[in-house]
Amino acid sequence: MGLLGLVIVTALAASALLANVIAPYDPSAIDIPNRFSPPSAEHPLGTDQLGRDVFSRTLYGGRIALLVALVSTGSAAAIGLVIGLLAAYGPRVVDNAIVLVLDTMRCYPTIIFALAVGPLFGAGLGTVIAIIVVTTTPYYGRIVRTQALALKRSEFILSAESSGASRSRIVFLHLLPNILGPVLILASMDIPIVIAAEASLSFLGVGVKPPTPSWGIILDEGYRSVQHTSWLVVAAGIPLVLATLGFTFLGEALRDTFDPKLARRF
Amino acid sequence: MLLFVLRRILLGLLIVLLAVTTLYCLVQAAPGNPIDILLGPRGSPAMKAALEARLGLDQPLPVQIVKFFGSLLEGDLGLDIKTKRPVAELVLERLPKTIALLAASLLFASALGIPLGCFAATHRDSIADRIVGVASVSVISIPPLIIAIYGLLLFAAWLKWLPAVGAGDRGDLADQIYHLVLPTLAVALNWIGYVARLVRASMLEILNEDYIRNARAFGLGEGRVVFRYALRIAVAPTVTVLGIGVGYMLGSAIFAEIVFARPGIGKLIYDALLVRNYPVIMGSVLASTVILVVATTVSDILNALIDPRIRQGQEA
Repeated sequence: MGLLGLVIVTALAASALLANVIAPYDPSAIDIPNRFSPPSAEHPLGTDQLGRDVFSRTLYGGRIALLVALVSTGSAAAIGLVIGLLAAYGPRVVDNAIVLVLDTMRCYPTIIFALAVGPLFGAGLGTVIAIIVVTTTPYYGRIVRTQALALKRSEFILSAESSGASRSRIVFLHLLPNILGPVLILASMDIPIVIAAEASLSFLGVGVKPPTPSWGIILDEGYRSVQHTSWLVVAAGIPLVLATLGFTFLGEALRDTFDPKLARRF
Repeated sequence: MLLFVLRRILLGLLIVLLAVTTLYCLVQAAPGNPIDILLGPRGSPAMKAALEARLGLDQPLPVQIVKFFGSLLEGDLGLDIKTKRPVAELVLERLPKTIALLAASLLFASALGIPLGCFAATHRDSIADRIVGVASVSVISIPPLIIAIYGLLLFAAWLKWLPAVGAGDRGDLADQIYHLVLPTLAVALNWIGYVARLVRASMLEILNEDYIRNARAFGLGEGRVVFRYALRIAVAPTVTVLGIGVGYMLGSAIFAEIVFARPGIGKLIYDALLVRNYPVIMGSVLASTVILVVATTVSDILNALIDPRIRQGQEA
């Protein structure tokens, strides 16, 4: 399963990176006479309501999906790491305050939070990333704090402390390498969720704005014209299903290989 | 036990209070202010000031928050900008549809997920176990939006087995349940996989415990050991996860309600969003937060009923 995941993810990443080489058409080239044309040799996934080639748009959509996934998971993990370490190693008051804030933030599921705040900031790539970072950071903060607290009392940290190592040396040299593993695994398992969230937010109109070819936008446009043709919305869903499946399989395999203990916690 | 329940309810209230305050501050701090959104680009400064005064937005933030909670306690969520109807009325009208969908999804996810997980654990490493494993990982990751759309196309448009839109005729329970099937599938499918995996993992752990070995050594039947002793404890983490999961289900319910044109809270938020009807958005988000906190509180209390160890204050 892990291998299958790796193959799907590599293929997706390659097709997104090389979208300008592989794509047979310009993703925003409008061709009204050929609108809603069914899949054919010229248009493998057909054309949309403006006659744009759906296959080319899907390839470019992969870029948006991967960009949002990497940037927001990376930032959430980095911020969570800092907050979690601060909570574990800072004064008790700071710890209590951080835990309270993190738990309050976890109260809002991504979609509900996005609906409340998204329209105020205006749709766009930055808003999507910000919303995802805000709603996922608490999970990283929580796991880093728990890990750091557990490690703080472990013997190798105590021995470093007793031999006079400075606090920064302990945190960066001893603690960080041991915390990074679980964080990276959590991040890899988060990527499919983030990809789905980006598409869902764009579908709702609080994410990426048209005419940018995001999978959510293609899905939304397909859904709006579902009475004309149904394959448009079917085609738009395929890369999304593939991407989430691929990343999930890969994340699961990574977790099972590197940290079997974690398997029980999720 | 009573003390535990009271403590949990108090904590729940505190979280609602905090969550609503944070949301209120966030909305005020955001660059696009609700007044501009309400009035649109043609709003004059005078109109802006008048509307601000009417909504009480010209007062200092702490005063606003206290007033907001004050009117909240009176059940006043403001007026819908389009229809001038009270938002509270709108929300209460839509709420049962969403709660029915969530309840059906919870029921569906546990009714399928728990037996599947239990079966996989008792038949460990068999082909059936592998199939359940791969299938649950696969369904966990598919976005509910896609399940809703594909479900609509397959079962409503092509096969014509199930109705595509609406919530069914009022007063006709069978029709309402009939209309609930596809949205429930869209919301619950992820969770069937999730619950199955969770139950399998905790069953495997518990079946290795000493007290299970003892029960077997006393000659109790395998069925009794599995169902009476192991499953009862193995279900506890599932109840917690489902309690937290209600929040995610609420997110999925929005898509299910949009795709199947089901008049619930999610559809209400979406329609309000399209015309930037801010009081309605805030009111519905508030209602969703309350659903969420109630769900987590109920799941904690249920857990304490199932597993007495939790009651002893280990939950903090």
